[in-house]
Amino acid sequence: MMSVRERRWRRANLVLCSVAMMGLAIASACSDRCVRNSDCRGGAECVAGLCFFPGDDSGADAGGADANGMDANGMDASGMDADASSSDAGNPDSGSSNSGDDASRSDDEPDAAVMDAALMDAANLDAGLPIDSSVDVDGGGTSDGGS
Amino acid sequence: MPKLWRAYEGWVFALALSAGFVHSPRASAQTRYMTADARTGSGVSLGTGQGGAVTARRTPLFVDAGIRTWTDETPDPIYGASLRLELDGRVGVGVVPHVELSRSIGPFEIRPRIGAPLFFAPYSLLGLELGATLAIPLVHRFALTAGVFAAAFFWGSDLPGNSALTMINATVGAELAL
Repeated sequence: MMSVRERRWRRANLVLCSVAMMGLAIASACSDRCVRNSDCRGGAECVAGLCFFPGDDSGADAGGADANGMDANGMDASGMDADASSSDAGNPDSGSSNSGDDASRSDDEPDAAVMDAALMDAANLDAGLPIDSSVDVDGGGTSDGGS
Repeated sequence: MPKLWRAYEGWVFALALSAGFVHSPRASAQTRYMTADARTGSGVSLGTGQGGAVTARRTPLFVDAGIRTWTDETPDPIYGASLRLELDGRVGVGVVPHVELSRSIGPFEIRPRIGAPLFFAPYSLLGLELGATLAIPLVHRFALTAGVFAAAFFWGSDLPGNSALTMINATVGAELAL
């Protein structure tokens, strides 16, 4: 014969476990895109799920901003960080490793292969797949700006 | 001493007034009840992504510390307020004033609630929150709580432009009757 206290504990456990399971189910469906400005680091703003730095509206933004978004969300990977160099001169989040590549990239047209690789990486991240780091998105042979 | 008293006179008066508000059962022939609670929660935040698609992201873990108060003469509605801290990858501070009802179902209490979460530091965010808490009494004056809340935010510096932000969060916590 269960005491009243035992019964209450069992009910409490049932409710708490149900809430925990629901939380896990919800969390597993989440991506790493931003939904609030505070999801982005370094003063970046969230625009359509991606982190942009204010005033950074050059033509290479699609790939660069995407990389920022991933980087800002703590999903940095070699390919993503390398791609961030395409548009992020002065980006405090992209780190000093890109500085060598920024000057040369800023005058060039964005490389279609680089953009495709970055978008593919972003899609992989969303799908929970690993990033294909074999694609050299830096153009310099290394991920630190070819230095 | 008089100077010191004058400096703090206003605060002492305000505190006395607050204490009177909280503990004035004899003066008004009614008993005021209070509870203090703490809860933690998370869930899913939904925003607008590329092409208008819905983007889901885990809500930052938050901690609420709050109080609720009511009297025996007017048990409904119950007024309360919580201090809310977001602690997951950022630190956000806000308050959540709320109003709730309370209905007993067997040994449990169901409390539908509406609140207005307002974050003010380091970013601002204002919205409406609707949900319910289940209170499970364990021992005298002590209860466990579990809740589910839906929130929609419509103003603040943390809100991306041209984007809606909604959240569905679950909480667990504990409550102590004072």
